[in-house]
Amino acid sequence: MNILEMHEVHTFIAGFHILEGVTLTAEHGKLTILLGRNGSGKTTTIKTIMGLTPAGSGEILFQGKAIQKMHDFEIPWLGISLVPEGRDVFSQLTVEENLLIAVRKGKNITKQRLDYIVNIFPPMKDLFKKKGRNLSGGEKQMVAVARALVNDDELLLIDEPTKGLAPIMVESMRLALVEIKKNATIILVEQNFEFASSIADDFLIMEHGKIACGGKIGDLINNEEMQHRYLGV
Amino acid sequence: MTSQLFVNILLSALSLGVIYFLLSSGFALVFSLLRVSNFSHGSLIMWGAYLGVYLVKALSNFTLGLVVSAVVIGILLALVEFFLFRRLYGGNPLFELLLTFGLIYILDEAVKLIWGAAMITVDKPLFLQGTVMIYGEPFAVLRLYIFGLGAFICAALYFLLNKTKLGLIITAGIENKEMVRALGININKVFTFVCWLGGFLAGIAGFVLAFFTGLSPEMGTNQLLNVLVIVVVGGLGSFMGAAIAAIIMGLAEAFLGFYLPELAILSSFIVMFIVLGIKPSGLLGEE
Repeated sequence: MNILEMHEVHTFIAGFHILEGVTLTAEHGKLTILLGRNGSGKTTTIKTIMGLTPAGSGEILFQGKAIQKMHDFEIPWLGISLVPEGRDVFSQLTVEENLLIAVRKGKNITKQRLDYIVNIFPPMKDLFKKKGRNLSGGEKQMVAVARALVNDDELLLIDEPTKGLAPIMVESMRLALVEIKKNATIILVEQNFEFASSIADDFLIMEHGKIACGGKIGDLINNEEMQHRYLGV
Repeated sequence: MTSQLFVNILLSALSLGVIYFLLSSGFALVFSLLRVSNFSHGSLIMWGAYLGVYLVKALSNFTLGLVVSAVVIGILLALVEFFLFRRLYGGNPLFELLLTFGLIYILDEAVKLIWGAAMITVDKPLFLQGTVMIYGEPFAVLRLYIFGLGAFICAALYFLLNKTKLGLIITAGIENKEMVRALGININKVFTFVCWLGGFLAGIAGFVLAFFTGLSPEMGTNQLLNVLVIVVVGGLGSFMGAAIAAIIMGLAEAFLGFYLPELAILSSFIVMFIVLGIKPSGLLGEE
């Protein structure tokens, strides 16, 4: 069953045609990796799903419901969370406040949810009172992912979580995503093919604002010609 | 200088700083979140003064008149945000300049039509008249009242911005509006609320100012330069920076007025010159 579908989606930013008819599907309960060279439209695809760069035309279905005309602030309420490329942890707020601001219903994160987050990212328990501006790159990435977990959403859109991280942090992130994918569907934008191929179920490759090809990750791992052609691996 | 005189000047300086805080806080709050330089802030201050004085008489209740007038000025700015500012976000700043200058003309002329262009003196209510002795020196009750009012508003704003979820959203929105929207928060509603609050603060500031300057259509725009200097010295986008800058301005004006009276009129520019010379982004402004 598909949790998300995009049909012929076109997105324009400042007059530039960025997405040139994206058509894709993401299966429920799977981790789908979105690959492609720089500028191929991966981040814009994620932002278009979230309504942050609204689709100019085409259709986006989340659990069968058309969402392309909804306001950006309405889309998360359907059960979609974003971990943006730049992490975007609020520097003036503490880690605890960064999580609190993301809670959609009620005023506090449930104890059960907090335990789940700390179980995935054990170092988080010592960071709650630290301001966002005082976190390292790896800590910021942890907080950005943790913030997306506070609402127990069905779909997580995660944009380049390993960008700029030390190898040890990349491995921590890999283990965290393996744990998270047990309870959520994930669409992951990633440049690091080795990292991506170790955790993904399905893949999609973007080129020039379109989906060039897709399938099971095993097919891509076994196809060096495709890796070389689309990813330069 | 005797210690009594020093304390008297210090208290005067602080109450002047509180008045500057009240005058500039609404502008700073709106600018910090919306990045809109609302040059009509001075006219809102003036409207707060006229309406406040009118309502205190009409309702025969000082506190109720003050609060109702500030709420109405808040609603006025919220409506301006909803119908006008919202169309300009992310656009050419020149349009914002033209819009807010246009609002100055409309608001100023409306006051002249309703209350006339002549200056009107404002009598202090009985409970704000007279002086109290502090450290052996007389100190005006009105200034003490303003000091208390400013401290209460500052504490309330601090609580709102730092201890509530709305405050977290405002702080986060100042830094990254897109991420706030991506968390499922309707930032436009927050913008409207912040404008209401900015207008509310302008309303209170105008009412307080009326006791010192009387009522005149120019009373608000005359303060606009001070407001801009305070916001720049505090650091563009920093609400707390503006609060600290306002107190520094009050101290500078009162003490320069005592030691070098001929320079008192330039005190705000002297402070600006020194602060920006040391830290070009202002006291709490981001580099």
